[in-house]
Amino acid sequence: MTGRGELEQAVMQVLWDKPGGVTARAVVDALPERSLAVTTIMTVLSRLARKGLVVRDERIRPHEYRAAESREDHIADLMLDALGQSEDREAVLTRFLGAVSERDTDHLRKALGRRQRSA
Amino acid sequence: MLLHAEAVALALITLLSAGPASAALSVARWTARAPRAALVLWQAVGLGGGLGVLTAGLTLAAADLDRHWLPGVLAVPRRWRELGIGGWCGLALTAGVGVYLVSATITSALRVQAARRAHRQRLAMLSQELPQPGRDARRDVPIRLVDHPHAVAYGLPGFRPQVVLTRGALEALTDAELDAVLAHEQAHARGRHDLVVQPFVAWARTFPFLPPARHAVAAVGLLVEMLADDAALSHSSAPDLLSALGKLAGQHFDVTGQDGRALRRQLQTRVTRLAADAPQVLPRAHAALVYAAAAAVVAIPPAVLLVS
Repeated sequence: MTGRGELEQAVMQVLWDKPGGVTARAVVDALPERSLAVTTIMTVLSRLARKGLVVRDERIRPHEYRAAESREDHIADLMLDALGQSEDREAVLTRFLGAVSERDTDHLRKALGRRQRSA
Repeated sequence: MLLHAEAVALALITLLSAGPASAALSVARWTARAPRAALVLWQAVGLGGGLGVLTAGLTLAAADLDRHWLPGVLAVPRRWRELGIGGWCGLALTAGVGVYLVSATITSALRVQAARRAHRQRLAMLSQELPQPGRDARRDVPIRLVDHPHAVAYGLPGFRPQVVLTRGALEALTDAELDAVLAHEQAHARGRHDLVVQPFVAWARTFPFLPPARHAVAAVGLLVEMLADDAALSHSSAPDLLSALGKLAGQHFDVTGQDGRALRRQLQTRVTRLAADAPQVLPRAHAALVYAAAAAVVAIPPAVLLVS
C-alpha cells in the first residue's frame, strides 16, 4: 500500500467485508499491513466519511464505521455512469460505444444487478 | 441604413447556422470521409452563429450613433443617452444572449467537472491499475481495471486521463481487439475530444427547445468517434476494431426510444465506414474547401463590420 488511494481502497474493502460496522482498531487488524497506526486509519475513515462513502455511528464508543453503500451498489452505479446514465452524459466520459438514455436506467440497473449476482 | 441592413444580415447568419446549416451538416454524408474537417466546420458554424446574434445587437446600437460600425460601437459607452429604442433593444439582445451563453457554458463545464471528479473517486475505490509493460508514462494513458462481468471500455478525460476496462471486456476481447479498443480510447484522451464535444453539449442544454442543438451533439459525437477509429486503424486492423465493436455492442442492453435508434444508427455508420474495402477519404481539394468555408463563416462577418 503505497499511495493514499490504495489505503482508502483497502479500508473500504475491510468495511465492505464487514457490513455490520467496525471500529478503527478492528480495521487496522483486518488490513494486511498491520503496522499502521490507528490514528492513520481514523484519518482515512474521516476522509472517506467526508466523501460520503463511510457512515460513522457516534452512539457507540469507540465509534463504529460502516460503508454507506455495498460494493455491488457502488459498482452498479459506476457502470451506470460508464454506460451513460449521468447528466451531460456525452461530455463526462468518452466511450467506445455511445451512451444510453436516462429512460433506460431502471432496465439497466436491473440487468446490472442480475448479472452481478449471477457472476 | 447600411448598419441596419448588416444587423439583419448578422441575425440571419445566426438563424441559418442554428437552423438549415446545422440540419444539413448533421445529415451530410461527406463528413464521414473527412471527420476532422467536418468538426472544424461544426465549430465554425457554432462560433459564427453565436457571434452573429451578439454582433447584430451591437450593430443596432452602433447604427444609432454613427454611420460607421467601429466608431459607432466605440461611442456607445460615452453617448448611450443618444441611443434610440432600436439601439437599446440591440444592447439588451447582445447583453442578454451573451450572459446566457457564457453562464450556460461555464455551468455546464463545472457540472461536467464535478461529475468526472465523482466518477474518478468512485473508480479509485473499485479498480486496480493494469500493469502495462513498456508503457511510456508521458504518452500512454494509464488503464484501470474494474472487476465486473459486463464488458465495457471507456475513457475518463481530463489533465490526467484514464482508460477503464472491465474484467468482462478483458475476457471477451482477443489481444488484438483489446489493442484496437485501447488505441481508440487513447486517441480520445490525447486529442482532448471531450473539449470538442463540451461546447455543443453546453449549447444543447442552453437551448433544449431547439432540435438542431441536439442533432449537433449527436453529429459531433459521431465525428469524434470516427477520428478515434481512424487513429486506432494506424495501430490495428479494421477487422479487429470491427469485431471489438461487435462484441462490446452485443453487451449493450436493448436500448429503446429515440436514443436507442440514434445509438444504433451511429454504430451502423461506424461499422459501414470500417467495413469499406478502401478507406473513404475526401479529396484534398474538397477538404481544403471545407476548411475555407469554416474560416469564411467565422472571419467574413467581422471583417465586413470593421470596414463598414
